[in-house]
Amino acid sequence: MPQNTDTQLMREVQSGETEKLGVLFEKHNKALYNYFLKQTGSQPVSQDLVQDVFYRILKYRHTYRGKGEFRTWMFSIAHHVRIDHYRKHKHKSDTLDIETDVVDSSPDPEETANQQDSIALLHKALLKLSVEKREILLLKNFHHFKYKQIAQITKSSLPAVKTKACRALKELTDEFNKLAEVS
Amino acid sequence: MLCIQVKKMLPEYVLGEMDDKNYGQIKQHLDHCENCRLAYNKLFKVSALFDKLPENEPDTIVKIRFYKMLTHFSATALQKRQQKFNFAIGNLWARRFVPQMAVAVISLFLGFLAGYTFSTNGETKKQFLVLQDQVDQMKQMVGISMLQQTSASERLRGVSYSRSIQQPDQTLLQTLLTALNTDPNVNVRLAVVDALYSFHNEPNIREQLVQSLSQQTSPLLQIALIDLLVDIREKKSLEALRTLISNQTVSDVVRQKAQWGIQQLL
Ligand SMILES: [Zn+2]
Repeated sequence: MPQNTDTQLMREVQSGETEKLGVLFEKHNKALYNYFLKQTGSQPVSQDLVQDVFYRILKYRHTYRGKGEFRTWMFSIAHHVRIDHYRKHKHKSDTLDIETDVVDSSPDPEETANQQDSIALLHKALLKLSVEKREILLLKNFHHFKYKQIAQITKSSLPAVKTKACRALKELTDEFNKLAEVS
Repeated sequence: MLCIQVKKMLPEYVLGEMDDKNYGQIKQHLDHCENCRLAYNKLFKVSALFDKLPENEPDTIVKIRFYKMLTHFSATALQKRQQKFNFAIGNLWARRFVPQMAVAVISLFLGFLAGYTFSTNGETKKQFLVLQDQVDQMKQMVGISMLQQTSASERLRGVSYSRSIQQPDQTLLQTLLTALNTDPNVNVRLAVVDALYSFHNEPNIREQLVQSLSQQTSPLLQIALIDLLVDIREKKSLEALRTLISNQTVSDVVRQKAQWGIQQLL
């Protein structure tokens, strides 16, 4: 069980072996980076936010009880970091204005041109969603969390998460098709 | 199930985690109803696209900043622990620090004696030197015994205690070197690096530090040792630094640090 190893490592960090956080960093920094990048659309911002997550993990290491998965706990910190970021930059719009960083990421040569178009459309459609809905869908479909874990991460109830995820997918599909018609 | 009911539940169906009963009913309905299947296909296509979203590689700067933060954090934690230790002496001396207290008392006595000696004859001076030698030996023994405790915080105290010794003997130095290479706790190992900095002019220490650099696997230790070796301008470490750079399993940050070290030493 990989999660057990994470929990074990986090316990060691708690008991003073802070260097073990390096192992957790190596394992999870990419996922966190993509979590922020797909929401903020900015590489420098995402880099800062990843750093902030690991800083908070160290600072609040004793609040991890080891009952739930480490990954879920880590994303709940990331969720807070994300909220704080948007709070600080409230003057900027809720949705992104910088999208180039996400869309222009090295396309897989194996992908057909058609599929690349679809991915670009998906990025655009995602930007039309509210931050909250976008986050839930990404947690569900990109990071493959269950509703229950998403409820823990976003500090809301399981039925609320489920309802929001379903509405988000419906909305996203409508936006996607609208954009597809235009292009 | 009616089409209107099915359509309402389609997003949940697509996203997964639906209970078996509803799932079965909708699946059955979709097999027969073209209209609902069309709606399903649209949702499914978008939902499945998430798997095709690229996973972007973060820039190395993320890694460098993280390890910098971690190193800084570990160093600060160590300092705090040492401060706590100084405070604890006040409370615990009677039970746990009798040897240290004995050293302190004898030192104090020596102080008086020294003052006295300078004004008296050679015989007293000789006795004074013998006594001083005994105090030094005792201090070394205290340091060594603390370094061999099972609790990491005790060993940390042992390291900081050892630093206060003016003329460490070979046994103490060897105990510190063993801790540097084999202590399970990274904070202890880091503290030893600091302590050995004060003793780097003792025989063999420089060689042992270079050797240790090739043995350490923790990035924190590797970075601390590189800093030390550059600081004491140990050119014999160049080869070890080059080996680090060419080793693909060594963390990028360390390899960059090693590169920096070589530039400093050349
Ligand atoms: Zn139907």
